[in-house]
Amino acid sequence: MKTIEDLCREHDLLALRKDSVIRVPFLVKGALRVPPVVGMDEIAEAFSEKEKAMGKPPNAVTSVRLEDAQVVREPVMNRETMRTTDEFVYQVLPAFDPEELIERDFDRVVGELYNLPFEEVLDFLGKLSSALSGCTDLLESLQQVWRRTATVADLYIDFSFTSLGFLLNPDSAREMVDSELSSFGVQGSRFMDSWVLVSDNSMRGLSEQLCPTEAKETSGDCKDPEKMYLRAMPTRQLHLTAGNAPAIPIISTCRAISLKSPAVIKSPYGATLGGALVSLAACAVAPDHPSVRNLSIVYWPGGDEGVEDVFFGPEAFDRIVIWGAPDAVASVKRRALFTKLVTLNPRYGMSWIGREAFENDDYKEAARRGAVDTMIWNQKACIASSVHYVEGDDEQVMAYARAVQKELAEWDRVAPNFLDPAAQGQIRRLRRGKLLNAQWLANKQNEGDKKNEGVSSVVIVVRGGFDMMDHTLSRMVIVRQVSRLEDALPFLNESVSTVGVFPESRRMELCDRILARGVSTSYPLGMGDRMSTGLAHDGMKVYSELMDWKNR
Amino acid sequence: MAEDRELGRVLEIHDGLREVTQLWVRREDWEEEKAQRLREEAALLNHKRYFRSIPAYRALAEEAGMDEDVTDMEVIKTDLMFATDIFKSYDPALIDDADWEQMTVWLRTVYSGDLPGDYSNIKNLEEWIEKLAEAELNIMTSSGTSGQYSFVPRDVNTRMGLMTNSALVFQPFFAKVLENISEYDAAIMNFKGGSAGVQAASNSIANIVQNAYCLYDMVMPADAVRILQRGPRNDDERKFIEEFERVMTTEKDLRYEVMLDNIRGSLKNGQKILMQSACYQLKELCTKAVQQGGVPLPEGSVLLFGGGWKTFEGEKMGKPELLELIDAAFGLKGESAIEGYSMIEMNTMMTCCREARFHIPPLMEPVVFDEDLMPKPGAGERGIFGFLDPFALSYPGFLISGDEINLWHGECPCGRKGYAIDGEIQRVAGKEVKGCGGIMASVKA
Repeated sequence: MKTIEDLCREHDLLALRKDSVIRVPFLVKGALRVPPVVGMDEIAEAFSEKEKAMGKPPNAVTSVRLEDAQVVREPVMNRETMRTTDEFVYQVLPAFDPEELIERDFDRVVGELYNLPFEEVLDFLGKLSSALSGCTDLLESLQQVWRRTATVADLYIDFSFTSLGFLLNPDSAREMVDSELSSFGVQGSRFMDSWVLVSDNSMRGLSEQLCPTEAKETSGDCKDPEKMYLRAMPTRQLHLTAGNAPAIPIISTCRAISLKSPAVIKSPYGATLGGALVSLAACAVAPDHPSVRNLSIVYWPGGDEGVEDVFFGPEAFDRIVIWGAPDAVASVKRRALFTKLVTLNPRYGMSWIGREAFENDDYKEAARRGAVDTMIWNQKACIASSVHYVEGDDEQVMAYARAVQKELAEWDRVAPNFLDPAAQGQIRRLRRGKLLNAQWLANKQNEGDKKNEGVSSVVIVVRGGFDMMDHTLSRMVIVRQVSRLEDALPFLNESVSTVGVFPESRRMELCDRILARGVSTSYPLGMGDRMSTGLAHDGMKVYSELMDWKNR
Repeated sequence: MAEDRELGRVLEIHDGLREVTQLWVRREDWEEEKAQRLREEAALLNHKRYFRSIPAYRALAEEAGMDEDVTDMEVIKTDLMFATDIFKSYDPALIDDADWEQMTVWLRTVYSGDLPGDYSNIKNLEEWIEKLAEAELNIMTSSGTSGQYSFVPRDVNTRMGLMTNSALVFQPFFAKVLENISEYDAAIMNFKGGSAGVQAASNSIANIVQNAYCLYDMVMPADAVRILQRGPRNDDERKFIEEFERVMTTEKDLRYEVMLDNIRGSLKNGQKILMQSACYQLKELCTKAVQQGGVPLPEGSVLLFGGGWKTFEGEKMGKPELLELIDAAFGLKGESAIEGYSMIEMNTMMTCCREARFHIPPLMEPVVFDEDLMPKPGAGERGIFGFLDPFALSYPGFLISGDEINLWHGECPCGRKGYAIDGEIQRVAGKEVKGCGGIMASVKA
């Protein structure tokens, strides 16, 4: 059996060349697809032509299409200043025909995959997980590659790679399936593997009862018509993943494999390496396993009509799962009219701090916890806290805001923030515009270095409403004063994913009122990204949404 | 006094810039360097004036370590330019709570003069604007899709500057119209009245012709967008919403029919047409006219349009297609169909030439910014459009807009030279929200 490293060596994959090119493979229905050999001259020429044709500066063109390949480029980060440089890393990826990824042979997948025992799927996941955890040298070198372009701090990169194996853990997968698909007290995996008897006294239908002519017995009659069975049938899935957390493509892959579903996973721009690693691991450990033969992990630039018109067309998939940015979600909703969508909408989190925080100086601990929830995936995750409502007088609110600023400064120290030019511009625009009269508490990075100086994190105490479209989602905390926490209830709606509350007594008091307004999760402040199997995601049991529930 | 001397000199510079602009308007040779010098002198003088009289400006300058003596234009471009949202920097709750006294306190932070008087008994936005008008302060309003208003305060000199400059820029197109104004009826694709920026132009046109008809036969209250967004709170507001829905939806087709009938009526009377419209309404009217076989307007008729597509982005059509449609509908082409570009914070207008360039008159200094909101070197760059407006005397005129443009400089085949906005003007894209964090639409928190 070949190892992941063997495959990399054999095909010259996932190694950054001196000319900053790295070859990244896809998985296409179980086959490892490697990109063609492409020289830097050809790549440079293709980008230059596209820049000219579009009239755009270099950093605005992120991908080009060659005859048999796609090339994606990401700007190299200066890890000291956390600013982008003029250099790029180029990923050469294979081309694919979208039609070849769509599964239209229902009989084959029923026989090969839908009826595969769940235990065999778990066995495969275990092997996949071990293979990924075991290739430590490759993981270390990929960490270095990702570090070249990653817009998150090293702290997050290190954590991402060490958690890869955990995300595909078979025990967690079993728990997820058994709990989320559970019904009638029966474990979920049974519904996936077989028909489960759910009723032995079903009621005769009205038409059957009203039929004016008499029924006659035949030799082909159902022997137990009163018995009804339920099954969770897998679906053909397209997962469009988001790039804010590299774990998301892996989570999506795990969901598809666990649910025995033929699937296409789209890796996001900026996080294709994780998908490539899983592709290699799958081909290394069990290239002929039905889960692998029915899995594709690919990339295309979002919005590419040549691909998406095929994928979003009628009957191409049974489910499309879309994570992502507002325009991406809206675009898929508009175009995929005939396919059931599972949308994991863009949302944001809040923190609510009760007046009890100002007794015994607990507000400093509340600020620490509020900052923890703010920093979930560098505030890019939909559960990260973006607005803090504080119940207190002017002085108390400012004390809390200063404490959050101090906490964020500590985060900046251990995990320097990417000084995204767009976010820096937005901060300037707000500071010299709409939020001119707000109180600004900014932490600076690269201070004294005029060219690279920027705001790494900022707390803004705002009077009046704040338009969430103005939020940078990059270590920006909006603090709003309320005389009672209940005054923040009108700001809750479907856009708010989570509310962390301090102290616990107030959370218990307000929990149902918060959740009744469209919020998905209420949690003790500072615990916003706790994980557990079987919990709801955006108000859904996602595993259940991804299955087609059938009656027999 | 120094203040008077400085204001006097700035007003002299205005005259100087208008002299240069006269040549520019006539497509004659003009001295770019002279205009540049004048604009820079005005900017440095205005810096002193703003520093002394506009609290928000002073605060920004002091935070940047500046006093009233700035001699470097780059310092102004880098550290002392405001976003146009400065005119929205009030707490919106003040409007909902009808706290016009506090709104006046806010307005003073972005305005250069005193605002004496008692504002405590003001009941609504209309009254507030009227009360400020008593203090010779003109407030121009604009509301974006967020429903939060911009309030741009113009004193008499600034207001005069805007009117004079606009007339100057439009001179080549409207000189003959104005000379023979009695031969014109006005077709205004707007409301009968209101205080929004574009409405001011509509009101001016309606005032100079004998016969003007408006697409919507109702006055748009100053706080209309806010009422529509938050819902009615009293009978007057309920009545307004009913009327608004009537003209905008129930009678939508009928309004265009009536407009075309009115135009035909004018033609029967031998009148020429002076038409003003936003792009979306113009497209709808032209489509209706084409369906009816076209309504050719007599020679000398003029159309002024602009404002982009805004909330009607889904209806957007390319400029060449729109010009073709206008020609098919009304037989207007070339300099008879003029696209204008401006914003309420600006004290001049730009017009689009046949080369699809909006020429920037020498009255104003363009600056282009990168996404970091730092100034770029100059022409030949795509970026966020900013400008130093020497004519903004009562509010900070060093402003960064929300539009993204290509700044062009050179001699255009149309006969104009200098700066221009080349090609399409786009709203600055919202920051890229990578991933699942973010929001689907404008949500207040």
